[in-house]
This record gives sequence, structure tokens and C-alpha cells, in this order.
Amino acid sequence: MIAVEYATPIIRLYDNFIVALQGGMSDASVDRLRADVTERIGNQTARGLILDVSALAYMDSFVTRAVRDLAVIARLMGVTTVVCGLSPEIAITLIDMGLELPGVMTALNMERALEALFRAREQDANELRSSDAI
Amino acid sequence: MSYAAPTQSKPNDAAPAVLAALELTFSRALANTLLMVARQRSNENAGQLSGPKLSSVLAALEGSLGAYLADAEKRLRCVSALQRVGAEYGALLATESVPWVILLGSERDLPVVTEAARTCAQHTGMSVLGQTKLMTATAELARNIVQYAGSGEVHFATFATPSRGVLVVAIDRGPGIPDVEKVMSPKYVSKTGMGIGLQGAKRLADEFTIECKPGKGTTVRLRKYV
Repeated sequence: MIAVEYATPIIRLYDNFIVALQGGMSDASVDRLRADVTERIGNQTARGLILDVSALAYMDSFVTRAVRDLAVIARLMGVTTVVCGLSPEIAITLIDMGLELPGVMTALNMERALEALFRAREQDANELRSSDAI
Repeated sequence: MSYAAPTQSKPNDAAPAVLAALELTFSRALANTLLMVARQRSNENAGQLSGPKLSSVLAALEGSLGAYLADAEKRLRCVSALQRVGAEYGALLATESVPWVILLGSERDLPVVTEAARTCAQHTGMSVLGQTKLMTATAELARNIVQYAGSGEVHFATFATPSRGVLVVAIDRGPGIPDVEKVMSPKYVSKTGMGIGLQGAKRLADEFTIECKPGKGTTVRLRKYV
């Protein structure tokens, strides 16, 4: 096998970062992704983070924890995270294993994830406006 | 290695398909030689390759691959190509065979292990959900080995009795688990996630046994039925 650790690309779209997770994640690649995402969030203004897991054939406890940790880290930095693209098989497997993604927003696919982030932002804006009115 | 009676059979000769599968990995000349040797070894020198004949020739072929392909990944690809031909021509399901032993040295070997799990599951005709569960359970075992023992091996076998399924045996010679019962109890919460992994694998499997000798290593066997 090739002994190169590829960085997972982080794409910026409007005010969101999009990360498509790849299979075969190792401790090192998870650490690297964590560092990359937090650095990007810290340096550039972003409001949303989308973690797309549709390319994964399975999610074991290690990968699930990595996803959950990323979402929690992003939330601590004030960035809303949506996990999208869980296949029915993966969802059922996670439940059978007794794993969940507590406190993490999820969406069926990328479109829905973007919509969810836009909606969350509009709600924020509305709340701001109504508090101005008072 | 023995194979169960064919469930469905195509009447025609599978030899060209077997050669084509071999040629994905080997040169044409070597592919021809390998098939010839396998036919001789299983006493199926003449006639069309189909049904039980095909089963025994494929078994001989799979058995001899190890000598030609040191690379586990290539071997896996070749075996799965052969098994596809077998399935297509109605040959076989291994009743209890151990065609694959995959050595685990680092996290980089994980994809090979999960791919082997998927191929075995597909070979038995398991649903996509079953395949996903088996891959996940296997990944948990493999990651545990890499994390706690450093290295080990994962054996795969498909079986047809009492019903079809896949057997996965994960073996390491690491430190072992000091208190297996504690780790496997639902209340156990570890910092490193070992409990979650093993318990998860157990919940996904139909049969699950764990043998552990402190200081000598751990053997986990799990079965998943179709």
C-alpha cells in the first residue's frame, strides 16, 4: 500500500466548510483532519460545517467518535455542524451497536444539510431583528 | 477445503471465465499453467469445468495462490474474482474453509481486512445491511488489535452449515484483556473506546466468543449468518 497520508480536502462554500470523509481513516488522519478543520474555522469566518459521510462503507466506533468529536469541537468554536449522507445500512448498524450521534444535527444529503444551515442562520437573523425592535 | 453441492448450475464450460479471472492478476501463460496444475491436482484433467468439478478446481487454485502472491491485497482480489466465477457458474460455497488470513501490522491494513469481510459476505449472498454489519464488526476487532496488541491476524471463512454465513477469527499475541467480563459488561466505559468496540462487534454478530490469556493474547471468533 502507498505510505502517504492524504489530507482530507476542506471545501468552502458560501459561509460553510464542507468535508467529505474518506474510508480507511487512521488515528493520524483523524488528528490531522481535526487540526485542519479547527485551523480553518479559526482563521476564516465560517458559520457552518458539513461532514459528509456518504462515501463511507461502514462507520465503526472509532470513525463515529471522530465524527462526533469534530462536531463538538466545531460547536465549541461557535460553528453549527451538520452530518449528512448516512446510508440506511450505516444508520441501522450504529443503532444496533448502541452508538448514536447525540447533540449532532443530521441531514439526509448535502442539499438538505445546506438548507438546514441556511435556516439556522435565518432564525438567528430573525431573532437579532426582533431583539432590535424591542 | 470442501465445497457444498451446487445450488444452481450453468451447463457451459467455466474454464474461459476462470482464465479471464486469473488474467486480471497473472500473465496469460502463467494463468494457463496455474489452471492446468489445479486441474491435475484435483484430477479434473479433461472435460468441461462445471458444477462439482469446477468447485474442486477452484479450491485447488485458491490453495495454490499463496505461493504466487505474497501480497494479501492481490491475493484477495484474485480469490474474489475466482469466487465470482464460481458463483456465476453455480459451483460453490465453501462448507468450512479458511481461504484468507490477513496479517495486521498497522492501521493501513484495515481497508484490506474490511474489504475481505465484504467479499466473504457478498460470496454468501448476504444483504447489504448484513455486509455493513460484518464490515463494521470486523473493523472493530481489527482496530482493537492494532491499538492494543500492535499486530495480529484476521482469518476469514465462509460456511454453509447449519446455515450460510461468515466466520471471522481475530487473533493477536498482545497483552490480553485483564478483565474480559468487565470490558464486555454494558456498564463499562473506557477512555480509549475498547469496550464500545468489542461490545459493538458482539451486538452485530450472531455468535461471539472471546478467549483471553493475560500476557499471551486474545482470540475473538464471530459468526454472522446470512
